[in-house]
Amino acid sequence: MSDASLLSVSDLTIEVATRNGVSTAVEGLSFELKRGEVLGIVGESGSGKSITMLALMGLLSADSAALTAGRIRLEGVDLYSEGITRYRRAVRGGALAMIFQEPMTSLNPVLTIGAQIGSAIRQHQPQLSAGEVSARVAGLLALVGVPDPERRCRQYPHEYSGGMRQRAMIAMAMANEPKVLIADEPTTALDVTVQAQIMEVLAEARARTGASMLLVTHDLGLIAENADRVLVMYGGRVVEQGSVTEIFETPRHPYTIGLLRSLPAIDREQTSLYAIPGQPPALTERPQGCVFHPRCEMSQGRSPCSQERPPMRAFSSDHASACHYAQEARRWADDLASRLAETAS
Amino acid sequence: MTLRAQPAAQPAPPLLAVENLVTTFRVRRAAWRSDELRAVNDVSFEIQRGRTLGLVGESGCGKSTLGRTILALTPAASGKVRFEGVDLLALSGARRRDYSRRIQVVFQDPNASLDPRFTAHDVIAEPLRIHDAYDHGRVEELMRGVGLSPSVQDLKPAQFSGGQRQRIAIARALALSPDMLILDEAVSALDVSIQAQVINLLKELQARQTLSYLFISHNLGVVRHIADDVAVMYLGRIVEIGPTHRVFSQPRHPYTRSLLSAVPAADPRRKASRDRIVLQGDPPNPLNPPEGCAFRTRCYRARPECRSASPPLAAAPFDAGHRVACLFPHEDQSR
Repeated sequence: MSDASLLSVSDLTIEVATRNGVSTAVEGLSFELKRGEVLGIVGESGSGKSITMLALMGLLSADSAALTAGRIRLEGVDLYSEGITRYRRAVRGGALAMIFQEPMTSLNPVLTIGAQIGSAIRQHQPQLSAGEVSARVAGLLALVGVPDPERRCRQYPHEYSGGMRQRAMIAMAMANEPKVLIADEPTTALDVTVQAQIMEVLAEARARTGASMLLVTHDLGLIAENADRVLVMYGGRVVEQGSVTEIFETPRHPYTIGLLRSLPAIDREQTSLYAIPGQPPALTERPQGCVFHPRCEMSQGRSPCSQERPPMRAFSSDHASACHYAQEARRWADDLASRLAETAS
Repeated sequence: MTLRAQPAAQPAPPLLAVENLVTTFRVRRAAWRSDELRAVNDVSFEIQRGRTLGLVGESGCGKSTLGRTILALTPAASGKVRFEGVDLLALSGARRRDYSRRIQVVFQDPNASLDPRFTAHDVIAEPLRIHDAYDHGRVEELMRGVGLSPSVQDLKPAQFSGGQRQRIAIARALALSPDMLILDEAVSALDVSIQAQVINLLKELQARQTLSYLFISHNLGVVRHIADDVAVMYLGRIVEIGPTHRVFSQPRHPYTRSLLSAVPAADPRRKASRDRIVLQGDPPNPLNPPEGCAFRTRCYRARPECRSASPPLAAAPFDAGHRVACLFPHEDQSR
């Protein structure tokens, strides 16, 4: 582990109970978050991205999901080594804080916004007096751009608009100056003009506190604009990782290539959209070999794809792809691009 | 776009012409008082046969209510909805029903719009049964038409994936061979790779059956891809309308321009070069819209004159066929 690494996740495996027995939601997941950076985690529903974030926060529900292997280290300290109690006391909401997608369901409707942010502060800084806490709350609301914070902190969540609620969530997450901010689809429920405001608020709050961020989203545009590095998840595994330019300009995994080609662009006239055939595997029906092989048009039924798990292969110091034929991926991507241009004309 | 067919010398009458449509709701504020909310405010547009109009705007702008009013699921306060020249709002009973089969709808959430107790077959057969046109073979043909194997017709909606459920909803909408589909956020709940499958299916069906679409969506990328023309709504009104490539490449209304600039592009290189307009504040309360231009409270070009009256949709400068409701539209030709 390098010195710059703040959060390090290695070989994480998460199992969940389903109606048909135990299934593996996430398998052998490893990544590092460096100090000050934004790591984007992109994947479609069921790829395992959200449950991984819950595991990082110590929020896996004990009767249905379990972390069965792997380590999560924050500044070299194994977070799960002292059990879940330590997690609750010291880590969650302190060094690691999370912003959820739907602020209406994550805020308590019967407590004022000020009381909720205040309790997050008191949880980790019990020595503060009531006056100090309310001054901090107002300061946090001002930081995230809530106008008239002294009055607004006495209001309830229903008196806030969607964008204002998400600002309040960010204020709560920043309450104890976390080292790592986990933002799980932070703007998915918001309109695009409000999304632009919220992403600005997040960037400002991070700049003030120096927090690193895990940005989890299905929106490749948000990743392109905000992330420094990217993990692409599919079927509970990382299939590709690299710097944001490498992932968007020279992707080396057929899933990443297909995903980028299936996205309608806003800023240019477009060729046909590539539709990745089939659908993502259900949790209980993850295929053998490469998880993506049943939908992969580059594989063409070659046997290693259906039999062996592809290892991560590095293409540069910070770009790796889990594909048996990753060296062919650029040529396949070019063929795909010209095929799509032909069908369009 | 240069590749598109040239317009015929004699323009065909539009399939659908919406004229000055107004939809209001009464919102109860207290026992003695209720306010009128104008969800759709003086909206007019046309859709030609075989063409797609994209309708974009943020939540609460009235785009879904507009779709529902055209379908007569929500009553109109005033205005006309002409289908092949006939005002649907003036019809009732059997004549209304004859027309209703020609405009069908697909909603966003197939979990909510498909009866969970029905099989896929029954879902698709229901409109046929209602119109006394049930035919087993027709249901299977419809399933094949949307890329579903008839072998799964006895499964219930819950046994299908989101994308497959949306295919079932489309097959049902096509059952009575409509001329027009209103697609209300029809691909918004789907993952990107599945969304592309459904978009390609919709384009294929349109080419095969000369369908017209009113494609309502908040996703501007999807609209740019699928629509021939696009209308932008803000607080119940259309603020800009025109050919898709004109509106996207040269937006005239400050709202359209800020909306487009707010969408993050999946291209890390653009991040440095772009000039994003971040609007201040939230959209105003539709119960109490600002006087004059509804957008002026968030507009970066607003001047005192904007307070006086709501600007009408007028031809954009240097740009016939592209209309904008703004006193001070962007006039640059730099893009």
